[in-house]
Amino acid sequence: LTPPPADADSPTPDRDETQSTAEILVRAKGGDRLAQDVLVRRYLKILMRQAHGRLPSKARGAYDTEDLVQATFMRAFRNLKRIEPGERGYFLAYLRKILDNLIRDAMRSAARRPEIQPFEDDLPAHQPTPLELAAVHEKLEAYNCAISILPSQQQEVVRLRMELGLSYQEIADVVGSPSANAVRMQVARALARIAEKMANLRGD
Amino acid sequence: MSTEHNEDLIRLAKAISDRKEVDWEKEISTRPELKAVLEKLREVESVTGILGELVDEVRAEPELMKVLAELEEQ
Repeated sequence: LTPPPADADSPTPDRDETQSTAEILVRAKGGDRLAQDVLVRRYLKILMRQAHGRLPSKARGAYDTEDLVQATFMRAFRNLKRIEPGERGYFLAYLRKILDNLIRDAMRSAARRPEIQPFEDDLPAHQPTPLELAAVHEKLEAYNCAISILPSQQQEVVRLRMELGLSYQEIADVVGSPSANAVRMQVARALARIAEKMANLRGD
Repeated sequence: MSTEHNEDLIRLAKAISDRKEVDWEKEISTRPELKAVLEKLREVESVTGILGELVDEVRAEPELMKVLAELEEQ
């Protein structure tokens, strides 16, 4: 899965990169195939990172991240007519929801298949014990619970930075923040709030 | 939480976000009143680090489209 190249023959090549996602969605809904390519170029990298970070270990051996993202776009484009361009970030949130659903499907499917055991030579040096896994799981639960209480934009910047590894500037471009530094501050404040909420959750 | 404490928390949160190393033992020992929240901030660093590492670990396999096509038909 590679981003489609910008169309050199397009009469207005710059328009694609300067138009808002809402405007491009309107074009795509009207049957403009080039507009779909623009959407893929705009969101491919983010979705790839999200898919990589979210695919569970059991599903990794049987699923291809690129195809998962491709299926996400295919499903989104099939349902274009139902999409009503909303506020900034709406389409990305919509894509992420589709991707989440596909990942869940992949997990369910993987759970139904017998797990293939690797050869002994392939085993990592340290396999976590059930106790260690339980501790990680507990921390993950607390983190997910705390982050879910934050406003959606704060959740978004934390996930894009901490889970998906985007640069501050990339995040600023995605969420429409005025600067990379503003995003850095947003992420820090959100992380501090998550820690406070986790501390409070423990005290409840 | 006082402004000074909040500044400490934000400073450490920025360090995490910038992926800089934090001496947690030192930070917690010098601010015992923030122990609970700093320990949680350390957990946030750990959890997001695990989630981030998965990005590098996952590798593609060619069977996905077949499985997804099956799921689409269900």
